[in-house]
Amino acid sequence: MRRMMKIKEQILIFGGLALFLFVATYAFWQEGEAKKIRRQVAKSAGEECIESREYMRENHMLVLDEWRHSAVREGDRIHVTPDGREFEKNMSTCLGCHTGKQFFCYNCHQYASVKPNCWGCHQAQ
Amino acid sequence: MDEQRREFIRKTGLGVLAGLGAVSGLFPESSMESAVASTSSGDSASGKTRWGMVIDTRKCRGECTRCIDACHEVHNVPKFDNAKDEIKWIWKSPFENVFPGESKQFVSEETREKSYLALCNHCDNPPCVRACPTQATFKRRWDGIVAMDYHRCIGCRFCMAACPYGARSFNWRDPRPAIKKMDPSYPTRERGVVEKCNFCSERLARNMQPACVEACPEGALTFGDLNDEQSEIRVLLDRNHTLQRKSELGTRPSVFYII
Amino acid sequence: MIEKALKGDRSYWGWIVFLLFIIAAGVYSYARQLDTGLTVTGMGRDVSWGVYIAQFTFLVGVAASAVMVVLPYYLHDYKAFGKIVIVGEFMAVAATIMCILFILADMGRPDRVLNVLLYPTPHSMVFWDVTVLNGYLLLNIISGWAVLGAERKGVPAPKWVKPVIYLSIPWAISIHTVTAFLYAGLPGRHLWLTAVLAPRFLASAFAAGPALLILVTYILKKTTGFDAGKEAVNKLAVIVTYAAVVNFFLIGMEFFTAFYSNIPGHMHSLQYLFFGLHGKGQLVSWMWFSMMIGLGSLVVLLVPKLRKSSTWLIAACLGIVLSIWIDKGVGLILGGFVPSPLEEIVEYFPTLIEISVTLGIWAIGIFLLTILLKVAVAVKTQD
Repeated sequence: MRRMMKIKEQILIFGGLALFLFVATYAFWQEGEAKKIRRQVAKSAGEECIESREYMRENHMLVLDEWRHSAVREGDRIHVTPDGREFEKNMSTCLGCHTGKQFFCYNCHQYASVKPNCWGCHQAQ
Repeated sequence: MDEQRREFIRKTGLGVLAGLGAVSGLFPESSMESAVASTSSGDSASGKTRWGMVIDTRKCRGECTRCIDACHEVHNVPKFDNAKDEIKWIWKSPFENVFPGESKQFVSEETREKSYLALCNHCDNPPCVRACPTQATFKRRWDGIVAMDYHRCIGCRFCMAACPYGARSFNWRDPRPAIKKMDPSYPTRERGVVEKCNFCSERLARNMQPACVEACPEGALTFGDLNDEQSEIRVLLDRNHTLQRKSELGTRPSVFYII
Repeated sequence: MIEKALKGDRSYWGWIVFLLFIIAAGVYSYARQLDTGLTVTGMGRDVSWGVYIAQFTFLVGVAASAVMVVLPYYLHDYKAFGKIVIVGEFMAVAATIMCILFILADMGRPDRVLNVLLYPTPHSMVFWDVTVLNGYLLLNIISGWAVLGAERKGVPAPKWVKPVIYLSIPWAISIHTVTAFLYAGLPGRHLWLTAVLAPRFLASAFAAGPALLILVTYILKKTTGFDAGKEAVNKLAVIVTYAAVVNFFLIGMEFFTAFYSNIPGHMHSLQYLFFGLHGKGQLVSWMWFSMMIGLGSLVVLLVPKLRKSSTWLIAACLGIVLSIWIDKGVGLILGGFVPSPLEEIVEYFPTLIEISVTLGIWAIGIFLLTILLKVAVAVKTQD
């Protein structure tokens, strides 16, 4: 009798654990292809960006943070690309090419559910 | 037990002494010797820029607010209609308020009636920078401007308590609704951070004069490098008797007044 | 051990619910403050710190005062404090947590509080204050809990606790010294710019803290029957007496220096607080009340016969706590801002929201203390 109870309990415990693991990792069982979002590609004003599109897509926030730090705290206001082009370290430099923050920033941020507070202070010109 | 206790007390005493020694080594710049030299006399090292300003109060007209308007407009300084939430980078106050330590007896009528410009002094030895727990306010190594890093400020308002000139304002509420005309080329601030005059560092980077200096119709404001002996500002300082606000506090203000 | 806080009579649960109610109101008010900004408080451009920082200052003193029971018991082996030492330590824990909460409530950007550790700044006194306060909290929780846990099991406390306790003794002095340095090093704030600020803080702390501790032991005795012992209370009363004498002596020093030197800047804040300046003096009656009740209580404490009567002792302790709370928790902080650096007189009135947040934080502290003491008493009485 006690043995029976034990087996029943074990089924309950391990079954429950398996169920929990399945639910908790459910998101990872899906094939890893993100849904495409319709997005207006930035209308570039002709000039090329400071880095490749792939690099910027992943690291633009780090670039902005580094720019802010070196411009505000070190007084180094000019960014020089490896091929010698110069850019002023300023949000308006970005927005000068990537016009329309509505599409350029919002769409992606909304999709990725990140809420940077840049526009709490900075203004798109 | 008694022996143990005595030993403990002895060791604690030694520890405290060692700690004090270590601490005095931590702060070479504020050690006793340099404190004496850096009070009110002595000029700072040349070679670097040290931006400063001379205000010729003889030329400044009492009712004129052109410099204030220009500054507050280009920096998106909000205007609230109550003194509690007030934010100001540059403003005018009576003589006895701007120079509380100066003579109060038999003051000429003109001095009594007039109002005087007040703004951040961009001190060479700024108490606000000493007090800030995050280095959100700091003195720029390369030109002496006492700057604010609004991204880092935690809003503890220690700098406001530390500033002997009342130059700092806190964003008690969202400033945006109270900005009459938004200048898109300069950011606003968010509520919860401290702000103050930045000596127009954004304009200096473009080789422009500060907005207040440019706006003054009387040429009462002169801006320049205090470390450059040839500069206009040094010539003015050479030829005139000038005052710094509360110079006895040893903050070494970079704003000078010709009374 | 904490499960002992879940067993209590009706009045215990009634008290807990009452505190939770005040905490809830405080949380609501704090949400309002987060939403609109600190403009919902009475603070402004000229008086830029108010009730929050004032409570913080007072409570650092309460936290530091635990040393007044820890030191005699552990360093001098003063056995009479055996039952009260844990009460003092837990009071320090509750007070330190309140201090931290008051600092958070006062911040414009509490979401960035970790910047203090991310960009450590040794020349800022706040950095040191954050360090010593959190350290002190840890030291007290660890030592209090370990000693109590050992007692519950009926075994001697582990060996490593001793050094932790010894460390907490100079540490207690350091928290209030550094708190005084927050103010005493600022040029242009004459009321604070005084070398006796740290000694004054310590003296007032060692008067108000043990006085509060005496009151707590009476409450414990009344509600739980836990008796800290007559001798312990008497000894605490003597500590309160001496510390209060030093405290009022040091306040007298401030008056002499300011008024005999006759330097306007040094006199102005004291004039504003005690006599009013340019027709403004909202705190005058508060400050005189503080002086009267403080000195009156001191007279009671100085007479051994009165000090040993519990009725008189309770009254005198209440008087000392109230007096020092007004002096430190109202006058000292506000007086530092009046007159302003531009010699303008701007007065400050806390708003309802501000008071509600303040009460909420006090309630959190008292709630914690209640639970901690519940556990302690249960262990001590083998309940």
